[in-house]
Amino acid sequence: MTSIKKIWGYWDRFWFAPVDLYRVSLFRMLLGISGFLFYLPRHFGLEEFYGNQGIFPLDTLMTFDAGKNLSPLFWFPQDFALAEGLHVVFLLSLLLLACGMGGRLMALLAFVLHFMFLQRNYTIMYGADKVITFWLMYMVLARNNDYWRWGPKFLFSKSQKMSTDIFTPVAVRLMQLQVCIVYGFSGLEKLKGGSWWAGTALWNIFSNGNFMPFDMSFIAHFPLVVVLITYLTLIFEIYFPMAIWIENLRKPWLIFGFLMHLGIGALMGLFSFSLLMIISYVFFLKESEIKSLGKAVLSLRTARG
Amino acid sequence: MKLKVLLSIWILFHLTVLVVFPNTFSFIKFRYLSVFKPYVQLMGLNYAWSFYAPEPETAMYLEYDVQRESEEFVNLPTETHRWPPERDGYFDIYFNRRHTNMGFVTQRTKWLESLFIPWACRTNPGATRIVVRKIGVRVPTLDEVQEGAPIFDPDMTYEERIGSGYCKETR
Repeated sequence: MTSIKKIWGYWDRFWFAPVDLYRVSLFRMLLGISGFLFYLPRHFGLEEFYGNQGIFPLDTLMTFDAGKNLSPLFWFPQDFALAEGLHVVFLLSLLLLACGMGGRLMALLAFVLHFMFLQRNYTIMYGADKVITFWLMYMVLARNNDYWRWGPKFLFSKSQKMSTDIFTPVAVRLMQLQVCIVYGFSGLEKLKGGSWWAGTALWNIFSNGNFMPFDMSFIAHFPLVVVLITYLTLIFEIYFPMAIWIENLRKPWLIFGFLMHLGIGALMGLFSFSLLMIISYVFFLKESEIKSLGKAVLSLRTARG
Repeated sequence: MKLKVLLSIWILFHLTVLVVFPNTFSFIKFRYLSVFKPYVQLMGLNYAWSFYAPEPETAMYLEYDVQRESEEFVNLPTETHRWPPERDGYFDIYFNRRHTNMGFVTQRTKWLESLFIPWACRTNPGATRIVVRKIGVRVPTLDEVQEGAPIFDPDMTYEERIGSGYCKETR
């Protein structure tokens, strides 16, 4: 009986202990801004992706899918003008989420609309869309605007410091575990591929026109660099779920992850996916570390100015 | 306390889904599909992990011929298009989505015929028939490039006809 109580005690502390709302609010802001920047260009391609003359008309989706992938609650307007309007509402909901207006309800609205567009044409869905689904889902759980929000007198007003409900800590833990799952499983999945074992997988990406917007053939003259980065990527991903909880390894892992995503974003043009992964690191940093990072960035800007 | 217990049950279920469902070969997934599927569909969690682990030994795109016939049933010159179109500069905001769509429609001939060919017909008024080929570009190895091989060599491409179909309106 005591051991059950002990296990419950650990479980209780892990999932339900109050968390600082600073990180939750900061993440909410970053998510709203990155989501808005990611989906704004999509607005100008709505006809091609979601229109009835586009690559996947609504009627075709309904006969093609026949309940295989679509949510039972799926709905999408037949009228394209209404779909355009809903996309504007979705973009606005992301902006308002960034400002902290509406809190959980705004996150729910953004999630529902995001999910609606995602399901409407799942043939164009890629990494960033999938990641943002999880991030919005967890923001629906969290009291995301208790610390920073748009105030009547100030740009941002601070109020509550620590969470008092039981859903916010759960959301934070699920965010952390989700990042671990994404890295851990994609690392293990990579192990199935021969080129990851050979250490040349990165070369296959660098030299592949589907991924690279420019010629990276010069990297062939540094084969050891290719092999090293390939193996480091594997080690980073596979061991992330463990390393991130070990104090001495946490910072090196986050720095490597940051650089890796910077590379993916800049070289492969996957800016949104990289940005969405980097912002999740907020949940692995301490408040003091985020503040000193912020100060460092500001002082860099001042020094340049 | 009751809420904590209920929430704990949901957490366990949610984490199980996150770990099990994206695993394409999971025994548990198929054994208990009826338990997971409604939740997965409702929340949109049916993603495979392979997505984050590319093994790209070839670059791939589609080429499709748009065939037209005149009223006298004389074949007019065939136009050839590419899907996705070539990347439009560094900041091509649609390239990844189009490329993902290409990957999807080429998974099954049925999908190519029911999704891609009708779209190609719609976007090419007057087309009578569409013929689709998959173009693979083999990536040169590190050694080959060190020895002077170009990163893109037309001789390293191969093509495979993967489908064709008539356009309903003009047939």
